[in-house]
Amino acid sequence: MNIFKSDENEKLIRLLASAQQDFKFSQGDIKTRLLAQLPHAKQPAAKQFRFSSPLIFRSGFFFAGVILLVSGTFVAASQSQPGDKLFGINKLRQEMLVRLPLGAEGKAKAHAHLVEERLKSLDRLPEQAAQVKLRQENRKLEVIKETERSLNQAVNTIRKNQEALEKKGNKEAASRLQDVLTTIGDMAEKREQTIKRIEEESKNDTKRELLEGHLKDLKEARQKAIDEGKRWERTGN
Amino acid sequence: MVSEQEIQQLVSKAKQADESSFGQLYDIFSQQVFNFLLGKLAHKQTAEDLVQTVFLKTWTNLNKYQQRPSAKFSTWLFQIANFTLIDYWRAKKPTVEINEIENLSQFAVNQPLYEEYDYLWKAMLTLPLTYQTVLDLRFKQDRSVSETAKIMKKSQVSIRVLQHRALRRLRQTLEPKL
Repeated sequence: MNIFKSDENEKLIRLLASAQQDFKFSQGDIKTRLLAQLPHAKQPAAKQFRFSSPLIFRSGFFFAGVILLVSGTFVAASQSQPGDKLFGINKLRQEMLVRLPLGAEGKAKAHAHLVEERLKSLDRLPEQAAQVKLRQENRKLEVIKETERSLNQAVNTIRKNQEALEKKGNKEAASRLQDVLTTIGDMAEKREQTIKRIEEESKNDTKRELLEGHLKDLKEARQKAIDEGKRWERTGN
Repeated sequence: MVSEQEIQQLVSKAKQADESSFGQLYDIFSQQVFNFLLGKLAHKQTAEDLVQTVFLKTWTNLNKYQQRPSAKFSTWLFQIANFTLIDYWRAKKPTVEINEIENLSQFAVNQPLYEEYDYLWKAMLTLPLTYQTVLDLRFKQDRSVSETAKIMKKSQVSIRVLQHRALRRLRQTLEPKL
């Protein structure tokens, strides 16, 4: 028997349905007042994302994000080796592993696994050292190339502007540019020792030839800057 | 009878701040909303003021209404009407002034029909607001349990239980007349 649909209830439901009717009201007047209010009542911009229960969903997303972040860090840390930034987390994971309530054989296997991981790290050391060296060489090359380029660019631009000013007869402005050029020349002159040291250090580099080529260019650029700085003094301009 | 598809088209235009389309939506639903409010307030002026409030809230929150086949506009509109009514009762002092209850037969379109069921209207007014609302939505407006649940923001089980209790209370009130 459906307790919600007894005969008495059915009778009452029919009564409610048949008693339903409309009531008169000032429909037109309300509409006029309402439409007059609409321009002042602005519709807010549509939201792209809307949660039917914001607190529950936002908390859920927050915790899911935290769990994802923590588990992601642990996964990334599991591949880390001594010396890496994430190794602390990996070490913590390994410590937890060996402290698990395992049997003697299980503990031995866990320790063996740890030793195996360390030995693998040791095997990878020469390879890693080579990679670090290569990275350093590339960086050295880039720095030298960029120094030479900016030095050349500075000297050429200043020299060109200086000539233009001289032609116009504006010797005062040309003299000020010369001061800058002299400063650049002085800075370049002081780097002689640095260039020599780089040359010495690069004797065993894999990209030695390439490096020497750029060092040569740098030395020429440096000499050019020094010469241009001294030219003004010689000519007395 | 306006189809749901036509209503959705009007809603889309109203969402683009088309006041004329919103006016058409008012024409379609204002009578139902007024009937719903008057049945519980028993005061014409207050019901008219609340009709305006309901439609104004609908306009300002229209962009929150997500158009889906499962979400009828009228369900959303009556949800606003129901909660506007609840807010009104909460803000109002708990006692009801005698001059605030009107004889609704004077506003009935079919006055003899109203007078025939006068005892039913009066009995309905004695019920708690949630009972009145569930009976109105389920049997006067013939809305499904699912729609009623959405309007009242309750579970379908709660609506069935409320409906059962409301019918029992109404039956007890009307017992001598049935």
